Amino acid sequence: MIIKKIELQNFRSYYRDNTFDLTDRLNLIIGSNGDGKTTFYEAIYWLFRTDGTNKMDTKLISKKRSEELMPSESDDVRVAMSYEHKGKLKTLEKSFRFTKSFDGEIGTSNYTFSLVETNGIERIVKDGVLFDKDLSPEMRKFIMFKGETDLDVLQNTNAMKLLIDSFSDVRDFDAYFDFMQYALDLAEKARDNAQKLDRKNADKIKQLKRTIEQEKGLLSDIDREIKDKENEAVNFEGLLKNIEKSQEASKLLIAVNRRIENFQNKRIEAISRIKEEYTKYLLDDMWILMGFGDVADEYATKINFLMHERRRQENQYLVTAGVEKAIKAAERGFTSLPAHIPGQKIMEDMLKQEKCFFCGQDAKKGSDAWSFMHDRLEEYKASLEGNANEGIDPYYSNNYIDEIQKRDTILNDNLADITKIRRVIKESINFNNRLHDDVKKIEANLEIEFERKKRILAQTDGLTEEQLLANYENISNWMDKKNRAENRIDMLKRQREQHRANLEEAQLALSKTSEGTAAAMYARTALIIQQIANAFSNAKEENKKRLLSAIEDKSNEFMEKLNTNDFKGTIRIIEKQNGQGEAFLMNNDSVRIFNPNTALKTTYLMSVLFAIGKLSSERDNTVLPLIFDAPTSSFTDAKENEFFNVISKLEKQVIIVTKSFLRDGNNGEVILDSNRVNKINGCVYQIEKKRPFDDKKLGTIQTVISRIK
Amino acid sequence: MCIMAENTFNDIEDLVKKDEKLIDIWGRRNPRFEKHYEQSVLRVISDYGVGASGNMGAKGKILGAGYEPYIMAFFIGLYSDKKIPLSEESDEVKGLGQPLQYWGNLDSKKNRKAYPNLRSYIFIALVAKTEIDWIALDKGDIEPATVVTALVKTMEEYANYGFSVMEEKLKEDKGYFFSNRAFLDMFLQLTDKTAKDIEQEDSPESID
Repeated sequence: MIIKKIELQNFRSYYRDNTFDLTDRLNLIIGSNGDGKTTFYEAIYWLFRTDGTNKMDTKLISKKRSEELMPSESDDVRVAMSYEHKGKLKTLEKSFRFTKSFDGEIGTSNYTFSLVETNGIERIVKDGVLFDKDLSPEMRKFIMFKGETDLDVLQNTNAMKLLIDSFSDVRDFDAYFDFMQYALDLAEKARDNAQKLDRKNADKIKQLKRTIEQEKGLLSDIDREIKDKENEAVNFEGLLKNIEKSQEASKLLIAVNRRIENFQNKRIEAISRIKEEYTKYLLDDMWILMGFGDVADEYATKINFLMHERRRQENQYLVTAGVEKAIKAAERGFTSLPAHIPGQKIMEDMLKQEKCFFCGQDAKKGSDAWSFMHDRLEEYKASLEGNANEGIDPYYSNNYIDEIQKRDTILNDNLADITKIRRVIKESINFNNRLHDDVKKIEANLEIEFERKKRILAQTDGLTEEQLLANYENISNWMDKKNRAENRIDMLKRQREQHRANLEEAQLALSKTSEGTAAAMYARTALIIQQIANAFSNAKEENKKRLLSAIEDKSNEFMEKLNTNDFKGTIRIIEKQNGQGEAFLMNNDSVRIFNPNTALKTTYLMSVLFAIGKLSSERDNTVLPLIFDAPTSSFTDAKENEFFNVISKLEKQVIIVTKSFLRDGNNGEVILDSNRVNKINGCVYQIEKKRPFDDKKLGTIQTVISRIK
Repeated sequence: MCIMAENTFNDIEDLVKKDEKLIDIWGRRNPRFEKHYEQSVLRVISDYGVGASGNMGAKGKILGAGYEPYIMAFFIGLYSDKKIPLSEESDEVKGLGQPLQYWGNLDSKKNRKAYPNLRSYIFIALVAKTEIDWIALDKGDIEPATVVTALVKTMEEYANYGFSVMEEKLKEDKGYFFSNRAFLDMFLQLTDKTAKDIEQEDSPESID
């Protein structure tokens, strides 16, 4: 099919009549934003619709034309395409009438859709839906592409089958298949009938038939399981493919989460070590005694004074009492005893332990020191006895000073610890401050990790954290399952070979058992038909493989041309287990490239399309044009030049609407890059908005077209 | 039965034993404070008045039993060496309700330690700071109870000053004592002289 001409009349911005005469090679329609590029593409799309939808949409009417109509005046919206197909000239035309009523409303009528065939001077008008015969709706997916995302046609569920059916002889095999199955049934029946008469081999035949049935049953089970496993493998591969993109993010996220957990634990640990319930320690650890040193001094002074005073007064009393013995004893005993020696009990303890509690020195029994203490104690006792014996009343009836004096001794011992309290507090505060600093540092690190996490999550195409983490876990799981399914398929296929051999052997044996009998001929016939059916089956597979490998080879040739000075990889085309096809890029180390950049993706998918087109033209039955709307938006200028260069050399009709070749001028106007356009080998149209126009009023917009080359 | 169980009475003979320590007599006393501090201080920072429930944490109180703020108040007065006599109006003062001999015993609060030894130090401080004719006491010229009353009075007056300081702080900032450092810093400041001593100790000795 070669498109000769496209006519647009009152179709949106295409006011009144507009005609594009096209060549059978590259046709460029260049326009800036809003100039009518996509409208052109959509006009063809509208024309091609044969399903009867979207017939007379008022949105399709040129606003400018409808606004200028007088009441009761009419005009037509019309899109027509003249093309040559299999030697015939045809025109596909779709139109409807629009009329302005007296109240200014626009009404539509007179929808027509026709296919006009011109044969010399004869014109045959047919229903437009017959266009499907020249270009089936399925095939349109292979010729019209909007933007760069549309290009991945092979992902379409039935595209692969369509491709194989259209471009290989596979479809032709189906009729043979049916016939062979029919023939085989007949032949086997004839053989069975003949063998029934063969009484001699009845048992053997019976057993062989059982074997054949069994093997067939097994083979069908194996086939079913292979199919299941193949589906499983495809399924997991698809899942893995989707995940592949996020795998890196998943890994990063896990690492970040691990660090966050680590820091959080450290933080908790550091905080748990902070002990700063100081109010509690003031009481529980008696830190409140931090200033008790002065009080203790005061206490000691008071006690010292009291002890002296107490003895002094007692002595005086005894002297005053005039008891000689008592005086002597008092003079010897009391006055020479140190004021702070508490009394008889402690003296006795010191003698017993052979130690002076006050100077800390040993006083072994019998030593001068021990004897001194012993004598003193004896004198003291004697003096007391003397007092008692003399019948003098004791001066003191209570011994409270003794009680408070004992506290002084112990307090003295504890004083060292009390003065240490301040140091302990200081150390504790320093320690806690260090921990607070540590916590602050940890928190700063945590903040950094949280920021990282946010960044990762912000850049993962809307996947949530849970999904990313689940993906990571799933990868190994799915990989495992996919590998297991594939291993199982391998094993099943080996088993299948074995069972096929068994089956063939049994079938051969069955045919041989009849040798020399009347059934021999029938058996041989059945066997031969069986073998022919097998041969067809193999041929179909072979044919399919050849087609795919041919598309693959051609695609890589185009790829080579489209990416002369750039990385390109190798295109692989496979038929997936479920019958869908897939085209993808591979690195030289046979590793699949999952995320090629957009330009690379566009070129490899286009290469596939060109390859399909090339093969179809070689087969000389369905030469189809390719129509692209803005396919190169991701390309650099250099790449674009290469791209158009390659396309112009294709022996193929390509229609491209694009805003390439335009650049911004100094005053904001858009300028056509004539140098680049001149290098293009093909027909070039420029479309523009007619000036002046009101950018607020659609009714002032009109696309004007001019042929440049 | 309307006969009271025998052991609900104190053993009088035991209490008046001749060799009873002065601190034991002191220990049975219930120091008093000015009633208005109950609302403005005690209930704000301790469980005073909420009964024997052990949920200081749940109420966010810093201190447990009512004697704890009392101890704080006392030491504030002691270290400041400032006393304020209690109001002479008997209906303006009240006893704390827990005799001194129980102060600092292990209480039911979580994460707390007992500190019964602190009582001895309070007693020592009172002896140091109270003018008492100890000779007369030993001679039997004055009663131990009189001496103990004087000691308790000193304690009450120190605490009374302490409470006034605490009340002042709380007036400025209701949450003042919720800071871990509030009491600690207050005591560090009051006993600053010692702090300077420590710093001097810490500094290296002069070579000269």
